Amino acid sequence: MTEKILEVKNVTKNFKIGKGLFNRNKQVLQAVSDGSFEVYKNKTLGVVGESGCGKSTTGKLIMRLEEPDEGEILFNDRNILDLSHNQMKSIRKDIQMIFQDPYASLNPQMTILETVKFSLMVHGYSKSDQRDKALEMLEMVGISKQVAQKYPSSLSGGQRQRVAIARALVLNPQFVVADEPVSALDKSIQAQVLNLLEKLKDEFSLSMIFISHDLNVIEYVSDYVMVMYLGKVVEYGPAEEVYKEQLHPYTQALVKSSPSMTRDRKKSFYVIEGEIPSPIHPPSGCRFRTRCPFAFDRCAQEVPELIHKKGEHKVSCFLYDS
Amino acid sequence: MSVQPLKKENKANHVVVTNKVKPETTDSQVDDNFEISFWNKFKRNKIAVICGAYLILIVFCAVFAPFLTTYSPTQGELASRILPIGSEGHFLGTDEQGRDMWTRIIFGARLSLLAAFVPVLIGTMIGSILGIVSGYFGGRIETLIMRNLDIYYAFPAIILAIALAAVIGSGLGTIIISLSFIMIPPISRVAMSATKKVAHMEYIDAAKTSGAGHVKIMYYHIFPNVFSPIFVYASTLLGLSLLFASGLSFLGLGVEPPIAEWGFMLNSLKDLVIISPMITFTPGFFIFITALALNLFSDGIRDAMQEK
Amino acid sequence: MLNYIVYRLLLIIPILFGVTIVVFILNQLIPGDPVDFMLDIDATEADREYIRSYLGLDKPLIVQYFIWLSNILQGDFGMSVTRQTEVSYLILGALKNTAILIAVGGTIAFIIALIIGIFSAMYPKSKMATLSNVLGISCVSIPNFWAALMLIGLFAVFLGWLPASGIRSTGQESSLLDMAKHLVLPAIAVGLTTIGTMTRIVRSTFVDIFKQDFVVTLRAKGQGKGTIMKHVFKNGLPPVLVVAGLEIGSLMGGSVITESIFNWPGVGKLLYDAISQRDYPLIQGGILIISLLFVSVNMIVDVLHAYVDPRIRKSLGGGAS
Repeated sequence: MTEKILEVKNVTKNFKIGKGLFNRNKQVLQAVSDGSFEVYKNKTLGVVGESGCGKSTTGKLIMRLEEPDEGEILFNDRNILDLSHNQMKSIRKDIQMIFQDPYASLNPQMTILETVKFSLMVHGYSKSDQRDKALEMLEMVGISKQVAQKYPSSLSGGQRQRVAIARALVLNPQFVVADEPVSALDKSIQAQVLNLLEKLKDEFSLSMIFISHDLNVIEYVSDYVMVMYLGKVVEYGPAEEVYKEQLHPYTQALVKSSPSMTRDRKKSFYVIEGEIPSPIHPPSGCRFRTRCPFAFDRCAQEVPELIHKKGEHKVSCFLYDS
Repeated sequence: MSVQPLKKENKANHVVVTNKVKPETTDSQVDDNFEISFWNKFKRNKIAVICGAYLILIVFCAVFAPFLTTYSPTQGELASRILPIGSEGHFLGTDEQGRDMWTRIIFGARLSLLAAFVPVLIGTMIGSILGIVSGYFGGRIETLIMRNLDIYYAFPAIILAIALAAVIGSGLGTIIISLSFIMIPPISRVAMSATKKVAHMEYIDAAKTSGAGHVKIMYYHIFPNVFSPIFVYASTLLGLSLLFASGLSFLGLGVEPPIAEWGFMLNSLKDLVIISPMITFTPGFFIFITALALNLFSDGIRDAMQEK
Repeated sequence: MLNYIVYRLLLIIPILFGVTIVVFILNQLIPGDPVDFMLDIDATEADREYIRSYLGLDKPLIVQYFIWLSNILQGDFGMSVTRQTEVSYLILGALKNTAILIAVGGTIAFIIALIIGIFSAMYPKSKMATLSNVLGISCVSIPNFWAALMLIGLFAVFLGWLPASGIRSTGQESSLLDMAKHLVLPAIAVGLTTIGTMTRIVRSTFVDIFKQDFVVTLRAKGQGKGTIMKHVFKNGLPPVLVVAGLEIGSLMGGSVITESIFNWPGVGKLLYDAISQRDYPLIQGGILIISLLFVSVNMIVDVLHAYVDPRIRKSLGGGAS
């Protein structure tokens, strides 16, 4: 087994909603509940789930864009949650993020070159170094010197996402969190950007968390897969094993309902029964039980733990509790 | 997103293949030359252009005042007092001390325009900082700043300015300070709400993950993106600022005689209304059309910036 | 609704508290020793000390503030230096005249704005619409002190139709007609800015309403003009009235200058005289009372607004962080 680069232990994040002096019914939204997982060096962990399942929050917690309420996040065996703003600055060089919406993730008032240079400026590179490194990085993602002088408004979505990748990688990080990096792009461009990411991952020997709701994309990029539902990790394991045999009923449903190019067109898509419950009032016990075809009494009473089923393949479901 | 994103994705998948495939570069090539399109839109507004031209002219007259007249702005000839408009040698007439009205107007424009412009400038600088800081950090810092500014909303603006001016003592500086003060709260609010819209954009998160400090993020990422709404709002305050400044000056809280300033000119002429009913026309008219030009001009800027 | 009123009331307490602090600090910023304003130059040091301790000026500032605050809460705003009269008495007397001026000037302005604004919203291409544009922008750009002087020049001096200053003619018994005559010019001058702002607001409010679905539906149903206008008014008047309420503040501000020009014996004139005579207790009291009134008016307007528009109640009731 390879070395762990990131280990997330029992992380919980709640959002309080409905603030105010006179609002008595303050509510708590549990975005991530007791989540634990690890990422190995030079491997990609794909995180998949429906929107609102807490996968983006997980990414933000690792970036410390949000502070978790409980738990530890170990990066190279060091708990980054204990670090001060200044100590964090040196770590930030090593952990970078690629954001979902390339139209919102680039400052419209900065040229492409300025955007990429900014991170270098923050970390104290000289003016000439900033320029050289930024241009070099932009060339690696396929953005020419001429385009680098432009503002984001004159770039296409694909180009913008390339710039976002360049910005993330220009500091030469060890670890990248990619939050739905291709979901805002046209299908035809998705593949180009995914290939670019794969290529750069090898060149920079990156470890990655790749967040997506698209099982096809996850299958393409991931070494490991983690499935989340309503803030809970329901299944975790090596990508091959998970795609070969889904253990959790939710993963099974997700795969069945996922569109595939090779599928028989005439066959109608499988749709998961019912609606996602509100994360403000999640179901007791197993959170998937309200939509699970195999649910039984125990599912409502106890919360299933993530247990090892086969080797590294883990699942949280009472069907496998024996 | 909706309740069943998976189902939605199906649809997208099929539609995409047929009609969404297009070369990457044609996505959005518009909007590149913002300045050019702004001027084109602004130019179409004839009234705003005329007002702009007038404003340039009056600033020019103020700056080059000594070259545009042969009279002194402070020394008059007692022999030619209260001459009406159109008199020989004094085409705008003379005042109660026989000073040439045109000379007083162009020299007075210096102080009047200054007293109108500087408070908006100072208010914009301080208000932007307060607004950006409170919008960016939110929470307690926002509450602290905004609730404090709320107190100043409890005073009618001109009363607050009068109160401040009364305490500090009269003078042009007094007018500028007290007007700056009343400009800060509304500008802060505009800056804050503009910042709130920007602060949750992903590029701010991206800047945070680069390890940049708060000051750098506010300076490089927030400020350039909230500048235009603040600028538009501040420009709408210029006309009001001129009216307030000349109003305070009219009340005698501004300059000392014999210095020329539009509001104060009205103050010294007001007692002569009984003798010459239209004596106050000229200085007041200049305050009026200058405020009008400022208002129409800033409306033009606003329309040109907001029109998409 | 009651919840909202309580909430709104609680919200103005810190603001009122802040207002008193600001006014108190302003008073501290006045250069010179306040005792100098009260005594003759040849007063002995012992006299000065006596006055100082009598007024509590030898105590720490924070104590002075709370003494002053408790006096205010009991209605004691101090004595005017120049008039040797209670500040509260002077202000209450003047307030009545200011109220008359603002009420008459504001109402006239509001009615004019309402007529022109609605008419130009109904016929957006008519001459009236152009007129409302010109009037709107002109009235907000006109310096009201100049307008006042021109009105005096034209109607009082040149034409001699109306009196130029005061509230009643000297040597005559006060009659309502006499006061009305004195009221005309200051009322116009004080309301000018309001005509400008209100015309613009009335117009844009009613333009929006004429575009709404229910008007289109009524038209499609073949309803008469009267019925349609009744519905339009029902929807348009409340928001317009709310803004009109907020205009009271700007009318109060404008009245300072107008009253001093027309010698109208209101709070504004009192304040102006106090400033020129450096009568600091009177300035302090005047500003404080005007601000308290201003805050109260805004609060009432807010509550009425919430009454008219339930959305505000909802968003504000829970949204104050």
